[in-house]
Amino acid sequence: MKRARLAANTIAILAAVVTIFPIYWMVLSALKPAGEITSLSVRPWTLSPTLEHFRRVLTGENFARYFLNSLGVALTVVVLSALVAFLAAVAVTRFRFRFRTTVLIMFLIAQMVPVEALTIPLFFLVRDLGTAVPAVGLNTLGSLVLVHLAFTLPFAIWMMRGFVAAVPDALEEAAMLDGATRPVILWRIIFPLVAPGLVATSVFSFITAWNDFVFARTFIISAKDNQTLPAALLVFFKPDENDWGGIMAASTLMTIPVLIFFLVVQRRLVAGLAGAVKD
Amino acid sequence: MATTINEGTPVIPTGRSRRAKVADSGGRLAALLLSPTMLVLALVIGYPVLAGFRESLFTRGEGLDADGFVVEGERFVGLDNYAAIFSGDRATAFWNAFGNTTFFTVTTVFLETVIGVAMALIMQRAFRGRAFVRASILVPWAIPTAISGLLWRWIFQADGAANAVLGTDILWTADGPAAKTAVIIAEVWKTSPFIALLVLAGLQMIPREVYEAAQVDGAGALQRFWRITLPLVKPALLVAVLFRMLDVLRMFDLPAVLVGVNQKSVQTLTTISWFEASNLRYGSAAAYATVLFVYIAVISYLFVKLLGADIIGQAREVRKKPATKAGAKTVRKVAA
Repeated sequence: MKRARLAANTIAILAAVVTIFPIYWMVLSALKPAGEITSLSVRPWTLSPTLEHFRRVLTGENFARYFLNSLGVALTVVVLSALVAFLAAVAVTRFRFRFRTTVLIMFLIAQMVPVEALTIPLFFLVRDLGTAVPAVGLNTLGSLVLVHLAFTLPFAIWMMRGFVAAVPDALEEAAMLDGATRPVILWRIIFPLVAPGLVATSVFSFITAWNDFVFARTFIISAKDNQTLPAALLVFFKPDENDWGGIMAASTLMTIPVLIFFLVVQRRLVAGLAGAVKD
Repeated sequence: MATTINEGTPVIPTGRSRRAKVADSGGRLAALLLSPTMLVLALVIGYPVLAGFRESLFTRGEGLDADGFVVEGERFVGLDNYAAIFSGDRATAFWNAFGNTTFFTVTTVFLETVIGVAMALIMQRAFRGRAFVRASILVPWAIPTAISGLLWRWIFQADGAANAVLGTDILWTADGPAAKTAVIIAEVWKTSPFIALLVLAGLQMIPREVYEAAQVDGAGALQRFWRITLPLVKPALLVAVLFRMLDVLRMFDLPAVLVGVNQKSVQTLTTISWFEASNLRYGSAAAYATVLFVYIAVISYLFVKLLGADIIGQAREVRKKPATKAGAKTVRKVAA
């Protein structure tokens, strides 16, 4: 028994090391001096770590601005997606209406649309929308919020459904007998009870929104102040020789917010997800 | 569920005054609650799909019309864009991309499922350093796809870490089977945690007593896995696998960043469509997108049918219990 346990632990640690290695390599490359990066002998350590690459990224044009833009877009998507998905999840679990199954299938189909392949129609949509609603037109952060909200909703609703279904009906019925109106029941009773679900959903939404490259490059064409992080990364790509030190430093910096967000909610995430798959 | 009578439909209003009122306003309230979602999805998903389909029936730019006159702008060409995909050289390119897409989906989803389940089992065990193991196993999933594409491209450089560790001289990011392998490794590395996470959540729902009982009955570790763990996490696993499949079938960022957009060995249906669009052949690009969409729909339909992934039924089951208690009973009475 003891030997088996030891073996299992060893495998676990080994698995963790193998998964973490590429990330270690990224951070290491960001810390290596330029000479070592281009040298032909690959070493898994460095004797003279330098923050030079990070300095170049951080003092680069508008990096702080891009960073805040990306963060703003991702957080807005998280909040909106949680709210909208919550309402939709209540509708499909708490009410029975005609087309309910159709609506659920539609959410699944929405998850099947190859959005990257439909960048051109989306571009025209955003351009035309911009004339009616300037906040979501081309070159605005609103356009990114809008598309990512749509990309996160189907999965978020699917997850929230389990949590809403887990709230006992009796609570609502009791509240209704006490004369609580539907909106009160929604916000005062169901909403607080599905909070763990909202945490789990927010992780997925944050990662989806933070993942974006294609749409940031497509919708934000000329407004320099509204660029997001991909713009900061792309300056290190050069036709002759990519600046790998800069790329890895920028990549590390782009990874940190997700990691922080992820580690903060990690414990609640697993507990929360357990609720989603309970039924 | 033959008794499912929609609460929104006005069925004989007598004899259930209060309940009926609640139910009727319920239908409208449901519509209200769904409206933000519907608006956003119709705009950002529905419209581009339809616009893309329309686009696929047209062609742009200069061309000759039926009488040999030069015409400019958009012209209706019917199914020509589709016919073009399936003829001559383009057909070879299409079937290559189709094959790659399918190949990537089968291999990565298979590997991710095996590794993901293994990771979940590891993460579930209580041992020292569990927090570290759990975090490091899940972290790759939190890294943006484009970044992980870059990271692996850096590792797979000709004089990069991969070749140094393996002691080889493989040109991973050039065209060829090595490029396919590189994409698969990077994809599996990044998304196994997703499956692990959902399976881990499923594992936590299995009561400890079930295992203890099995152990008392003399079931071995392997037997416990096949007979208890796997059947009980199956619903969670199938949903995870389905969502993964939908994602891999649309794979774009990773092969594009890691190898390149127009590389034969890693060309997927999305990258081929992207390539067409960036060469301003919008009609053709839209035709590829539509074909891919149909392909994904067919695959998911088969998956749900064959494996019985309980995507929609799950909610129906959940709903059934309270519904029979409160609403349906009265409705059934009235209907009878």
